[in-house]
Amino acid sequence: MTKLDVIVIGGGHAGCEAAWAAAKQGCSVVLCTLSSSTIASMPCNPAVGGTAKGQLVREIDALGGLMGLAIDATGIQFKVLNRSRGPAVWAPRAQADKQRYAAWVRAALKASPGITIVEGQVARLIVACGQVLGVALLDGSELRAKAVVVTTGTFLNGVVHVGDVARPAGRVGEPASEHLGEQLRKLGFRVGRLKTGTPPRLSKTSIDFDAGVRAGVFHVEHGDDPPTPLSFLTVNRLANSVSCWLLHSSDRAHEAVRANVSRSPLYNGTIRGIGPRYCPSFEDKVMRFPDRERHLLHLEPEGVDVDEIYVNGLSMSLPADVQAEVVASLPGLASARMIRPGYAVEYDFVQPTELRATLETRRFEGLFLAGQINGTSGYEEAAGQGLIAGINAGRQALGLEAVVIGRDAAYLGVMVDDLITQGCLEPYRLFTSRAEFRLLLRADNADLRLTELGRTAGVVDDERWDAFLSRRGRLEENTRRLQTTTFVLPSSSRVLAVDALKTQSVTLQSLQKAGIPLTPSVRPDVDFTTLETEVKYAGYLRRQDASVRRLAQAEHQRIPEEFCYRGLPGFSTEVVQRLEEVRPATLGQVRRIPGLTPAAVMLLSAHLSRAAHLKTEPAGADL
Amino acid sequence: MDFPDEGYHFIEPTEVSAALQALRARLARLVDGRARGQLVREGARIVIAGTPNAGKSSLFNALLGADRAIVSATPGTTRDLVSARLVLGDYVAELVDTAGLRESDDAVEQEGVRRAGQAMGHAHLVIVAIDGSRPVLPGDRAVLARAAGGRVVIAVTKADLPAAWPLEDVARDALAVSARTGAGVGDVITRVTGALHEGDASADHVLVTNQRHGALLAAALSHVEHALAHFEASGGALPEEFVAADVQLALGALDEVTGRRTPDGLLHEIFARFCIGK
Repeated sequence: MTKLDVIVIGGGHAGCEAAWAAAKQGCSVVLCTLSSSTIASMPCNPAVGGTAKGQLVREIDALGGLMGLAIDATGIQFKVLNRSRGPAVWAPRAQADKQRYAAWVRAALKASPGITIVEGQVARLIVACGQVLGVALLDGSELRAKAVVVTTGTFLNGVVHVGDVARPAGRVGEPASEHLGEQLRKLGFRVGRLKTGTPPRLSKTSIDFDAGVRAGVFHVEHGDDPPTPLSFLTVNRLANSVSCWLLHSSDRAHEAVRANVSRSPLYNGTIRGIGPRYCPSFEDKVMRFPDRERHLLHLEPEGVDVDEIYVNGLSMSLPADVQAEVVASLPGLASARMIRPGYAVEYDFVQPTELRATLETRRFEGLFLAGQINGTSGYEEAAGQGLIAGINAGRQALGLEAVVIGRDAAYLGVMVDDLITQGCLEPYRLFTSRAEFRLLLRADNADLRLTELGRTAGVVDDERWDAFLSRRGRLEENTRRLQTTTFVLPSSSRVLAVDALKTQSVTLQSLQKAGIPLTPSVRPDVDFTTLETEVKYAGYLRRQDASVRRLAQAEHQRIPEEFCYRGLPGFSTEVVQRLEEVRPATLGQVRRIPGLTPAAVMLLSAHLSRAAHLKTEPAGADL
Repeated sequence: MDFPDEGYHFIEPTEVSAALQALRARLARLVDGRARGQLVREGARIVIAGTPNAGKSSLFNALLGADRAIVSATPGTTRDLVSARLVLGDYVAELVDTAGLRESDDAVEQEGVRRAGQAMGHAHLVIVAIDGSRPVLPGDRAVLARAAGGRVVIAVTKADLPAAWPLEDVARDALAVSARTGAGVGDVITRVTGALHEGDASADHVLVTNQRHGALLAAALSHVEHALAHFEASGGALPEEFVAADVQLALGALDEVTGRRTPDGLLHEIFARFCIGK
């Protein structure tokens, strides 16, 4: 049997990026999926991006990933969130045409010469001597590879709940994978249980949107004009082809929930898994916040030619008849037809403290985990991990050194470090507030932060690299022009254009209109934000840069993975236990372990320096 | 900023200044507590200064004799400074006598003056001794001028001899003291103890005794001051993510003190109190 470089288990957003990134490096890749028709499907909301997630998509794109390109090619409404704030926190988001999105990704994977898609269920991993060797499929066949990336999403011992009906399933209509979950437990991984949910879908043709708008219960939400792309490579003008609608829930709908809440598996004790607090079910919203008279809901089309509306904000696991009653009691939806009820899904996840920053397990060499199996939620979070796992699985198969992205470089780094350092108590979602350096980790500069790294790692192709070089050239040239061109103020005094731009009310667009000669190639959609932010907020960016440098020493002080914490004087059993669980790779990571006091960190730092002194190996041996 | 669609506004722009000012005041109190914490940890340094023959050494001995809680006396630790430790109220104090300075020649005198000056510079409190039995000398005025600005207690010595001038000539709150009879020594101790505890009542109840913590609190304070200055300079137009950036740096410094990381705690608080999310 020929030995593959990388096997990816699962064709969700993590699996797709992992396979893509490994193949980009020239690896031979097999992607195992239950059915190729569900590759890159969006089982929950029909959207990509948003706060922190939009930045993440740009980062995935900057590293040669699929998500940004896919959403730009198939998005049906584009909107930058946080426009009322400064450009440093703008977050691009797009509504997706679900079917076209999935079809686009599927086509890209199929067109990739390194990727073979294998339909079938993986029964178990083949492991020996602390190393992963391949996978065995349910039909008895085996595949061997140097690295395996597990991206099984909600499928590990998944149980779907709709009211009093619970059945094993990864998503509605798809079988759960029970064998792999059991095997991971047996192999000693710390497995926990989480829960997530999705709202009912309504028939678009059964809703009279115009009447809702006229009655004042629906508010139309349009996309931006012009739309902003999520990929740095997109140059075609994007189009907004659909509207969304905003509405508020009513007391009648809340009453329907309250009257039937004992039939919700969330409230009668059936569901034990922990759900995300930031994405509460409608039951939770009604029961936990009884003072709120109404809750915000959005009606979002799942595609252009699809008769399906996603009710954002109405995630429920009540019985189908109650869900129908709740929907019918919402303003403007009295005659709406429910196509599918919402549901809750419980699934196993592996505590990500098991992982290195490359997303490789410490337990088995060559075994990587990415996506919801690590306790995260969200397509973007999954895709980002898939990318990192794919890059590193590929590099390991090729015998190359691992790539680790820091918290100061990307939300990708923030996410991975949070996961491997803190572990998960609830489904993990990225927030901009999780980043220490929010002003540095912007959507507009993701390529400047990461594309060079991606080029070195072999995942940025010539097309993207050329586009990046020309953008960097444009930014440099236009910065030079701003620094050397004088600008006449209304008061007829002359200032440098760059100084004029520092004024809050002056924009690059207004300077260009006033005759500042920017290069003709400059792109308002991506370049203006970068140029303006770097000029207007230079002082703040410098301060954050200085903080990064101050912390760099701890971030770079490495701790050997086999470092023995036991018997070190001054540490409690509890602290030793935490350290052994996380096995931090750097002193910086130690500082972020919950429950570790600064005194313990300093003590460890002292122990480390002494251990380094006692070492008699020649200096630089472990660099 | 993470939930732009939810319709929550956690802080109105008009409230930002007031919130930052309150934060600054709280941090400033903690930073002040750092000085008090240092007093507790390292002890107060009290220096007796004055011209030669002003009665410094006699006063030094009288102060020690009057205080029965002498911890140790180590005369002659340096050639020209003599110090002893005693308890004054809540603090352990080190009493330093700049005696031993003799005018043998100019160079030595200059060196002595330099060291005495240095000792005064590092003192938490200076007792200026002035001989009340002879006219006030320019040197007395110089020592007084030097001590001004810090905490000062003026002791007019040799009160058992006829006074050469009224106390008020030098300062209204000068104390008359006689090392020989012991008269007024208790007053000096009461005054010194009171001066060391000055401001304790209004100070923060949190005492910062760790030097590293003090530095981190000072850093947090400077970040808040930066936020406030820039927000007010912009007339309230500075987008909130920049205020948040400074506040986050301040929080980072405080986290270094407490060992806690805030993002998760903050998010927990928000999710518990507000119905957020789709």
